[in-house]
Amino acid sequence: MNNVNPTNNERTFKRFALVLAILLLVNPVVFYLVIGRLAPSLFIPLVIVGLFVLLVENRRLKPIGILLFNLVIVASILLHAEAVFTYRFTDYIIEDLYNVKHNYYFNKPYLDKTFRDKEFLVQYKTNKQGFRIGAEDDPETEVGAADWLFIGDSYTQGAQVQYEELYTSKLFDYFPNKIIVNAGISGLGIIDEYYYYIHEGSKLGAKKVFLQICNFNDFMNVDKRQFGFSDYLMQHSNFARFVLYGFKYANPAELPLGRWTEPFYPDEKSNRNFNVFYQEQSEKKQRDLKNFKLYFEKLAEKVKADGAELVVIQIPTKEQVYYKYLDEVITNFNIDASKLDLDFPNRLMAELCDANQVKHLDLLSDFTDTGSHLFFQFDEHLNVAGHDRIAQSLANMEFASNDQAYGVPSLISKLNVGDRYPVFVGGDNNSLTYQSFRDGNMELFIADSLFENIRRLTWNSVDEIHPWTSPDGTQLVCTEGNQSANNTKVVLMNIDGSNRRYITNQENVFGAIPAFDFQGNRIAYAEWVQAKNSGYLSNPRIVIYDLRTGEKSYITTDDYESWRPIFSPDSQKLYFISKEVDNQFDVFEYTLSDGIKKNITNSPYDEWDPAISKDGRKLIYAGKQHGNWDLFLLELGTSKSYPLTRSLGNEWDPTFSPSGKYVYYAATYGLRNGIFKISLKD
Amino acid sequence: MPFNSISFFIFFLLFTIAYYLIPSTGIKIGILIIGSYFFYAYAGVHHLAFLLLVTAITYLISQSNKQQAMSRIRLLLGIGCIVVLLLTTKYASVLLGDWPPINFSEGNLLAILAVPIGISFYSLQAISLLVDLYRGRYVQPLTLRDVSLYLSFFPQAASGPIHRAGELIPQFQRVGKFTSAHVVSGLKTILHGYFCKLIIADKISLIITPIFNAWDKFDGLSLFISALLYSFQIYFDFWGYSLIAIGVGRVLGFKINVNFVAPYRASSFREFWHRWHITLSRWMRDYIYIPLGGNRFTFIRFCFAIFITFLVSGIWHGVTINFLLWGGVHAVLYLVEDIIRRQCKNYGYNQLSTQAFKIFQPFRWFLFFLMISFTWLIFRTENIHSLYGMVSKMFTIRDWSVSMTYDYYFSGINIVYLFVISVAFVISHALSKFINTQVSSPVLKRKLLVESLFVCICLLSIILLGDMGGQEFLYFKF
Repeated sequence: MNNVNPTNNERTFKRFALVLAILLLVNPVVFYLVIGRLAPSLFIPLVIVGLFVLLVENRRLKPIGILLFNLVIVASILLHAEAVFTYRFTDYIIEDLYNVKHNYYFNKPYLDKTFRDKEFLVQYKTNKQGFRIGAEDDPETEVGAADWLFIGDSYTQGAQVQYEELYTSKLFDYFPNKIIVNAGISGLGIIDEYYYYIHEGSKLGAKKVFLQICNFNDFMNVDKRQFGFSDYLMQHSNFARFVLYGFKYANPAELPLGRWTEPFYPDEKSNRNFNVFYQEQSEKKQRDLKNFKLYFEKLAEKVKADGAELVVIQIPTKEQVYYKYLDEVITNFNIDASKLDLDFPNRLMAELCDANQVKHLDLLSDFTDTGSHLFFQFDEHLNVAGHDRIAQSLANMEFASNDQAYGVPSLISKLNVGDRYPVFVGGDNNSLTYQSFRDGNMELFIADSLFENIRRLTWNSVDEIHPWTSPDGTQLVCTEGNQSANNTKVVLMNIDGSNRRYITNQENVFGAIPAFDFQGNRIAYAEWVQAKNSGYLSNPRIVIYDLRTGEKSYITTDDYESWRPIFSPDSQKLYFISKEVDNQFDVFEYTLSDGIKKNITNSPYDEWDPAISKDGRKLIYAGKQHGNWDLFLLELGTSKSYPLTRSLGNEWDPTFSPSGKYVYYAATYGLRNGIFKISLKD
Repeated sequence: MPFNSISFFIFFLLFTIAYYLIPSTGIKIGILIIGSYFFYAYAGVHHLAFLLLVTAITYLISQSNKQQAMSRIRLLLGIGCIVVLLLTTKYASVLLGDWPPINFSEGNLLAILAVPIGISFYSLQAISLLVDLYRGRYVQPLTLRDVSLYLSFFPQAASGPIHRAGELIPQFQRVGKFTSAHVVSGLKTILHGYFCKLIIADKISLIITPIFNAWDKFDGLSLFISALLYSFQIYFDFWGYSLIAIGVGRVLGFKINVNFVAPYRASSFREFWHRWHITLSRWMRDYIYIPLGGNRFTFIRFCFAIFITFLVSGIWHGVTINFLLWGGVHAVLYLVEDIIRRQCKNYGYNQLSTQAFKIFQPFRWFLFFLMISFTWLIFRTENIHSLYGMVSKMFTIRDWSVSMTYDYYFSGINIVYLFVISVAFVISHALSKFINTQVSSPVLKRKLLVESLFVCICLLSIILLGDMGGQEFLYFKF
């Protein structure tokens, strides 16, 4: 008689076979290829194997084991499909632009995409927070606070124009010292925008919140966003995105007129339900309008509670601005023109803003008064002229001009590439040197004071920073090397970059931030040394190097940090910053003849970057009085200081213009940076 | 909390784990009640408030004079309260028109009254319980716990199937132990339900909704096809819901009534109403049609009973003119069919040979399917004008355009949808019988491979093509 019960060997073999089969189905290697994380790639297959071992040992749970095996097969098919698709069919991958959040969605961080359409070709890049940035901008740059926050939909996102052509970027030309954050995302409506603001936007602490509304689609389908399973799936799977994209999104080529015509529809029911211009209102439309009002009021209330001001920017549709497009939808969709009220959304918004004491910028008349075409022909969005028009309209608003208590600086830099450390070239009242980021590192440039003629001085793969020219303009001294590793040298060269030689030429001696005296005989800089055995770095101390004799004089000790020395115009004094008192930076004045040192700022916050006027009576420095760096002017005669700037950005590296009427400085305002100029008031 | 939402999925998973982890029967019942109430309250507390109110009314009426049978007045009082509550909540906005204006955003009274989830279904169950108590059909002692769970039991209360007290309450006395075969069978039934809803019904909806929204822009043939497709949409939508309800009940160890038995195989209205929304038909029969006399009296009285029953069924779906018309048309067609049947019987045509009957059967079935699709068209449209316009186009051959129909249905994404629907339809019918086999059946083992294939195809389709959390169930609004 045969034994029907399996022997121990058979049982062991079956278990082994099962484990092997499961490991083949949910292969940890494929798992790792797909999710890219080692721990879950090992842990998940192990858990599944463990679960099966448990289930097969228990006869009562066998049906569940079988069902679970089916699930594992499905998971395996999807896992392998994802791996094969991701690695073999890369050309078919549809990039996912957005991260699904709670009740809204936002740009993924570190996007770098090119959008091609028959009407535009655009580089779309985001920083680590998901905010749009320029093609050359550093995605690691973050913005923690904003003066003005713009929330809206695709009209503000502006993925049809380059970043620099967005109306929010153009505003930088009018208000260069404002931190302007563009949080526009295609498809967002008032409810998404409300949730974006309460979850993320409000953290920026903007004083003004601009809500962009477009009559195109902001008044329809005003419902709280619910994300379905497929939305999450598409967010995480290239394969699912490829399969589902066609199901989820309409192809513009298949649209009735070959373009998006919202809110106009070919059928009456949709017009009654969705078209805000259509006078007949279905229950759906009434509910949408009530929801719009409700969430607008909630947003206005929240913005007010945050101590900010809400401003509505209302963009008209193509059909409101150009008869050609209106005629096209009326004729093709057989819409009775007498049933349309083309001013309705504008009146509605005006009433809502009035009732909630919100400023309202209705762009309808600005758009209709403009001769040039402000929209793309097929795409429904704004072209470059459209963005320009909005920027102009915003700049003309009364509140904007009243918001500049400290005077408006001018942006000199042409690119957003980290221009810093402007210093006028000796003997030439119209040229200045500066450092700028190129080809992966900092290089030195020389330009006229309008940055119209720019010449690159250095071409290499090492950082060159802190340029300073000799009084006759023939020589240049700068810092060279890796600043973050404290591995920098002071370098002297001819103004054309030739004849390079090191001031700090010993192996274990380092230096930085040099400055010529006004006679061109001496160079002051900060110097530190590295102990040969321990590798310990000393504190930097101020050194004066005599170019004529090659001798060094030490002004400060290495008991504390001292940096950034500059000579007074008569070369009798030295100004520098030092942590001698309370371990924080103050500006010190050192008289070379008697060695007397005086703390001339003596404040409870850090001061950096002293710069002295040609007459030696005024000193400008950067001070961190309010948590960020602002510029201050110190009258050396009276020791009185005045703030020159007061912004949320960081203003650094000031230098007087040769005439003494202007201060040039470097600054970062959120995601924007560059060299700026501000006039000195009497 | 709709069954096709991610929140329900999470709720059900956690609920089931908690339900089976607790050994005590009493606590299991408590968890069932709390879970059911959470199911209602999730969409808004007022949904729960109405359920509690109906529960309180039902319990109070059922408990008075325990020693005696319930008096007729008390029964009428109970039914009256429930019906008034149902009418007030469901039809207030329609009946009162624009006065007072309903402002959903400001939380006024009418906004609060706005159609509580499942009220149409649990109201019918409440009335059924009271009538059964009155008639002595249900004689077991009734506790507040029984009434609460009977009315709120979440797998079926929101959109049916509708149960009698005797079918459901005794099951609460013996809440089940964990049986893996039951759980697996229930899960497969749920999967089948999602498949019907997400892959077939929702995809049909994507094809035909643009046509119904802009019917005046389409030709008669396109409209005709969309009317036929709508018959399948409503069936797979509601059947899908019922399957999920049955599956959820089965996972928890309960037997939920079947609501559909291949309704489109019917070739007469009488047969259809024995196959479609069976529990509602049965309720209408037991609590409207039979009390009105049924067919026990004169033909006129029978016609009256049929008319009232179908009109009540129409009004139960909604008080808009299309639902009334839908009920009326069904009543007329039912009576016409009955008259024909009586005449055939009188003339002996019902004695025709089986062979002859088989020849005519496909034509009879096809004619019936056209008629039932026509009644669904009434159900689907929102006003008489649209209905008239659509029907005129459909029945005017010169308004038919084969090329336009072809261009719409067989181009772009619609051809993909049609392909998916066709394949899903075949899978649903060819393979679904395996999941409905009894757990003790040996078929379960023999057909393991086919069953697994079904599960895998369903799962893959739902994951990739089913927009979970997308379109709501059609019957969720009733």
